[in-house]
Amino acid sequence: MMAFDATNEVSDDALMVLYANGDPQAASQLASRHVSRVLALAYRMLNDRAEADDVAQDAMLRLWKIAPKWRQGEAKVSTWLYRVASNLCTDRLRKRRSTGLDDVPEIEDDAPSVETDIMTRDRAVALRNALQQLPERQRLAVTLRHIEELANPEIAEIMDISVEAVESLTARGKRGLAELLSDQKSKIGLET
Amino acid sequence: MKSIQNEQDAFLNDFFDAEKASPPMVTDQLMVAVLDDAATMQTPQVVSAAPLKKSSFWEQISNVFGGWQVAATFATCVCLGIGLGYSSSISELVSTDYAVAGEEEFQLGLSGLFDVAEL
Repeated sequence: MMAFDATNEVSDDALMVLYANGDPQAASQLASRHVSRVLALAYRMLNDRAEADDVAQDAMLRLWKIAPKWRQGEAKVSTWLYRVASNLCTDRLRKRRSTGLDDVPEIEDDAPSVETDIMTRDRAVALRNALQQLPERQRLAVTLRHIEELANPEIAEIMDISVEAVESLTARGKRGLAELLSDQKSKIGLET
Repeated sequence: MKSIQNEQDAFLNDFFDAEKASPPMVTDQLMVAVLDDAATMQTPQVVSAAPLKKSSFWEQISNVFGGWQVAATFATCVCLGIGLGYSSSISELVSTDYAVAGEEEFQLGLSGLFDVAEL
């Protein structure tokens, strides 16, 4: 029990060093901390569970590859992973557009997720469907700010834009979402 | 304007909260794949040895004598030995002539001082 707690206190930077030095437990710790976040972002961006799994695996693979060259204190592992994952999602969305496979069907919540009540699940599905209708950059900014709850400077680093640009994207994204979701108030039990 | 903004935020927060409460689950399959990748990348890559080059007859002979470095050193020593031997034989010849001439001069010198026959 003590060992588990102690390992949990190890920073991501230290785990990267341990992994690069051959510690097998370090990979497991890093994966348990970050795979779920990367997967969630990819799923919200792509709206496709299989593709989100691929992106999560690919982003983590890039983390393993960079581990021996990882420079401590320069970037947070989570920020780096979000940036890699968002770039991978952008590539996939671009490919979809070029191959004419952009029209992803509405989510029917077939993806395995944490058990929640029906109303919560319906709202989540409605939000994901609305997110898909936002421009890609707005979708990413809103997801990182309001679902992943990152601070604007970190989002700016992930998206490689200014903080002001992040604020603008999230504001426009939220306006768009409000419009899209207002039609569904009665359907999802929000109408008084 | 501000109240409209607050209303919009409150409305959207319900959706954001719902989404946060139902994140996609990481399947065992995905976690296994991620950890497999980690193990593969962590394993030191085995560098295969370069195939042995088949050596020629002369290379084999040279290897018997310790390789080209030893053969080159040996050849240098032989050349140096011959060179030194040749030059020392010339100098020996020159020095003998000189010695002979010197001896005559010496004898001449002595003969000028006194008559040997008188002694």
